[in-house]
Amino acid sequence: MSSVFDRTASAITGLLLVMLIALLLLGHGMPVYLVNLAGQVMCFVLLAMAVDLMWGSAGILSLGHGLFFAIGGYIAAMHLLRTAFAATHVLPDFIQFMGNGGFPGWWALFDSSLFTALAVLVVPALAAFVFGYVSFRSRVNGVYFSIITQALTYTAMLLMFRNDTGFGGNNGMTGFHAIAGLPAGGGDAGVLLASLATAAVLVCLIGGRTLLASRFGRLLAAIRDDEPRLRFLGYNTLWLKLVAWCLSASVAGVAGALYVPQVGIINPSLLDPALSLEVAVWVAVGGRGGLCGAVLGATLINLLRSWMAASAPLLWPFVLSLLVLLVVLALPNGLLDMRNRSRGWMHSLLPAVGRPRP
Amino acid sequence: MSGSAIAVAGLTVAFGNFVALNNLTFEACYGQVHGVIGPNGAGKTTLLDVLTGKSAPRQGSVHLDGTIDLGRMTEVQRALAGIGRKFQKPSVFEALTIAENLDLALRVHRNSLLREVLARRADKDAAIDRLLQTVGLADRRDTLAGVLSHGQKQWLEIGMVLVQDPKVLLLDEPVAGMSDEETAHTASLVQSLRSPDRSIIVVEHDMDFVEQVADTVTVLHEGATLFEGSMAAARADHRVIEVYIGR
Amino acid sequence: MRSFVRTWLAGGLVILLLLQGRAFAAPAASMSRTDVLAKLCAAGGQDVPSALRQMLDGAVDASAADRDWAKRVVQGFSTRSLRCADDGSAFLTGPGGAVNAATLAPGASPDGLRAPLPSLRTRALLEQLDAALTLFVAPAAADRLAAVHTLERRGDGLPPGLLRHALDAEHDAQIAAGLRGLIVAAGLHSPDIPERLAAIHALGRDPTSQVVTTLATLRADPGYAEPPGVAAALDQELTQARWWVRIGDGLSLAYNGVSAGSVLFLSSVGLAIIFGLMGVINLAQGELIMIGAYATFCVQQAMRSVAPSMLDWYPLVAIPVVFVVTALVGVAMELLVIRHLYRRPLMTLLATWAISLLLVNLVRVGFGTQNLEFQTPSYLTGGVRLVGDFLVTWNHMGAIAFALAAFAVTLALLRLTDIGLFIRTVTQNRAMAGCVGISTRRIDMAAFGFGAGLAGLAGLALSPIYNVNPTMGTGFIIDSFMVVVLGGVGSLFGTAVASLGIGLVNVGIEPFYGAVAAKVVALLLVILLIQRRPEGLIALKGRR
Repeated sequence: MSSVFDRTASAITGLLLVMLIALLLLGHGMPVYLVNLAGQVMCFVLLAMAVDLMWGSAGILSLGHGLFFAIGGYIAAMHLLRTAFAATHVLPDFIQFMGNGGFPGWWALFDSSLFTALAVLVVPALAAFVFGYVSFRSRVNGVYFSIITQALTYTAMLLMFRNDTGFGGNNGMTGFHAIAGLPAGGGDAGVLLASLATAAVLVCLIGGRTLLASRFGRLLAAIRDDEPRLRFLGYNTLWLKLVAWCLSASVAGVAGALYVPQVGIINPSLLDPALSLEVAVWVAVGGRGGLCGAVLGATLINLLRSWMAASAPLLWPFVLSLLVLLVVLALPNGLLDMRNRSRGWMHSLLPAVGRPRP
Repeated sequence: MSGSAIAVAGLTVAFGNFVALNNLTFEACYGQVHGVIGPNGAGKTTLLDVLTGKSAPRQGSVHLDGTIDLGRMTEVQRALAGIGRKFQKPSVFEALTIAENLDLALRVHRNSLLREVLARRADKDAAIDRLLQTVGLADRRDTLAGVLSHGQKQWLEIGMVLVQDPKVLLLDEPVAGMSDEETAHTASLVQSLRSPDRSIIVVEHDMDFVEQVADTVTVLHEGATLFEGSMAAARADHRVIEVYIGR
Repeated sequence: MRSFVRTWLAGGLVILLLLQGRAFAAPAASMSRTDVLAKLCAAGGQDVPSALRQMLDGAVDASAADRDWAKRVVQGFSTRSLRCADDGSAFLTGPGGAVNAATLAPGASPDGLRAPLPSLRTRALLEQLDAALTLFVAPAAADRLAAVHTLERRGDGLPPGLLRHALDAEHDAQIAAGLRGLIVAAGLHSPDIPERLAAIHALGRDPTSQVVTTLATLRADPGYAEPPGVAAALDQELTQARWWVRIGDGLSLAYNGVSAGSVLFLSSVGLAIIFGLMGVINLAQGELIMIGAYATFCVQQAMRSVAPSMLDWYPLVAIPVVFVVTALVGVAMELLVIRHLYRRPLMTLLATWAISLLLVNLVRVGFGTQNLEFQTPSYLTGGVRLVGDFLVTWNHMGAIAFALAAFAVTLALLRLTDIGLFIRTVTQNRAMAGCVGISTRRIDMAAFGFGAGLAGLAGLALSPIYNVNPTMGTGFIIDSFMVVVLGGVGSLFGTAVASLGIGLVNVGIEPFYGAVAAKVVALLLVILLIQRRPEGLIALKGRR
């Protein structure tokens, strides 16, 4: 296991720090779209890290992290709708449409920012716990697990599309008034959210890498290598996997909670299986394990997408699919592999003097 | 201490219509090395699978120390109760170093996963160093297990099982694919593992190896015991000869 | 459909009960041509209903010639080619000149003729009369059938005996059945109690939910059920009809479930084979289905331009074409991508997703995003009603038959051929199969091609019952995977049983709790089942 700060991790941490400081000091002078782009990309980076936390270490690929992302998002949206109502006294359309004359009683809980923050961490983890417990207990793994997570997200999407589920149905929730006292959609709120997202990425990167370098991280690696062996050594792998899985879900929840206020709306499209699948693609392209690849992949692909969305939107799916095929076939462990590849390539050019055995 | 370590009674295991073990009764005692031999398909590995909880028997009971019913325990609980197994195919954690492999195998807090995860590494280091000496890998402490040779992986795995200080040590074909030199090394390793508090069960094809290490042997044939006694007696037994040669 | 209208009519008649009095009050009059024409021509049009009534009542016993005449006059009157002269004579004008309306003899028509205008009020009567006459005089069965349908809407006030006369003269079974329905509907409200009872029993003989509604409405009407025996007859028929309808509903549910299961089987069998063989979930499976549907469309278009007369048979022509096209796509996928990812199933998952993205967008660029228009062949339209409301629709029957055929062919291929043996061998133990000299790579490629071809055929079978567009495939992969998980890896029977099971669960739940609930329940069932049987319903037995 590499140390917490190898060269790539240090470089990425440094860049993120620079970005955070730039946002905090100069953010108000920057163009709003740039701040928003940075903020949204950071949320996707966080989501990718959540997936990599499971996939890169324990080898368990979730194709359903959109679910936890959306749970975080919906919780944030509920808080924002409550605060908007407190300020304007206008009920959101879908609440009026439900015909109960107001918010369901339990929404009052989300008046509290503290409760909302807790819920963003805990509710996705709880959902992950229930699903993870039944799946891991019956030793569902590999491709099975991946596809069942996708089916779960798909089902959740169908559920949320219904109006009587109570979360705005097809149209979702929108009409946020203010974010932490700053007018929603304004530059100040954007800078705040982008800074928060960048800080969250930093915390997650450093915390995650510390965790992965610990014995817990080694146990996860052992699960990936040979789970039965670990069980015969007396480790109940169910709980190890569950802890990592719930932690990963919480991170995804935080990402969603920071993302939704930035885009100003949440609807069931976040639960589209295609999004969850794409997150795995970001990680695969960047390189699994150690979280750096997730940061790299999510950033590059999302920047490329937003650039192409303006210049050549029709070409984007082709670029994305060919990029994935290229990476999967040529760089088995993503762009991070390029480093090793190029090193190997240089070695093959040099005479075999002092070449270290792997 | 030389009482019954593992007592198997009336054990039947079937996969579909194939009966792998048929009403098998078997006992292994503390302080002894017990060899289990038999032709392919005799049920040797299945026996180990049942002991560790990998396969569930259709009938019969398995007891540890004559009192602890293993049938009700999960794989993990059995491992914690003192049953250690080395697999036929060397299974070590290839992405971890040798020291890290042993670090995971050494349980200092058997009753709490949380405390185990949080345990200080220093608490384990002395034991790990000692073990590295025993299995002869002391100079490769920080090598990734994935790059070890086949024999070295086998020793590492034996070390990982050993570091748990198991009451019952199950070795599934420990010398398969080893050179003569490595086999001799393994034989002396197994001899050195003998302890009055430990029962060692060796499943092996290599009769010479079994003769070197085992006190008693059990010959399995079609899921049932064919012969039990010393290796020398087994070599002389006509039924054993028939099973091995007559097929 | 026919009976639907028939019973709707019976229900509607109840409402018209009060208006009916005059129908039977009118005296049967013989058809006097001059009298009728005079009334039609009379100024103001007040006498027109009376004239029409006279023709309608007369039609029962009239001669063939009179009916023919009446028909021409009615048509002339409707199309305003009946012209009246001031002297009381009338003419029918047409492209071949005018004829005397009374004698139908050619004759010069004087000037200053007046064309009487049928009032809106008489339209209904006119339509009824025209249909009634058509029943007797039209040589084409289609015309008579149309007349029956018209009378199903406009049946009130038909003279007694007219329908029975028409039935006696009718040779066509379908039209006769329609006429019998009309007689029953009329009989229900007959003042003659035995006739009414007979109609009630006749209605009960072909029970549908519409019949139940009709009978229940009649039963609830105290005036109607008052005569002795009527209430008892209604009760008896109602009980029976409800029974049959319930049985029919059960059968419908089963039929729809089986048809949904067939579609699921078709879409997942290729996935199951590939997953069993290579441990690879092909996320582009849904897109192979989509490509199958598009290939079907291309075959249809090609036939439309090359052999329009044979267009009805395009699905048969498409079978080999679609199979080959999608199999080639599958083989290309395997050769270019999948085989390089051996033992990396999760990466294969992502790679096949990328391929699906690529295929969707290629088709989108090539064909556009709109739904394709398929011409459903005549032999796949409609259906036959068996019990209660249970309608066996031919397009769903086609899907079921297709799935059965695919099942049989796949089974035969796996069990009877060498390549099937190899596929089964590699599925069970890849390393050993390689050791005994089977080229596992070639088997992989062949199986991938075969699985892809089956997916294409699923697209073909789906084209008459699904919306065909570039993104149609995305809906299939999750359901198909459920089937594979439920059925167990590498078991064709497991796949079939699981498809039927999930199909039935979906269809059984959907009408009551909605499609979402059906999906949720299916997912929960699959997760629960994995708790008990991690290897699926039907797993390969053996030590793993």
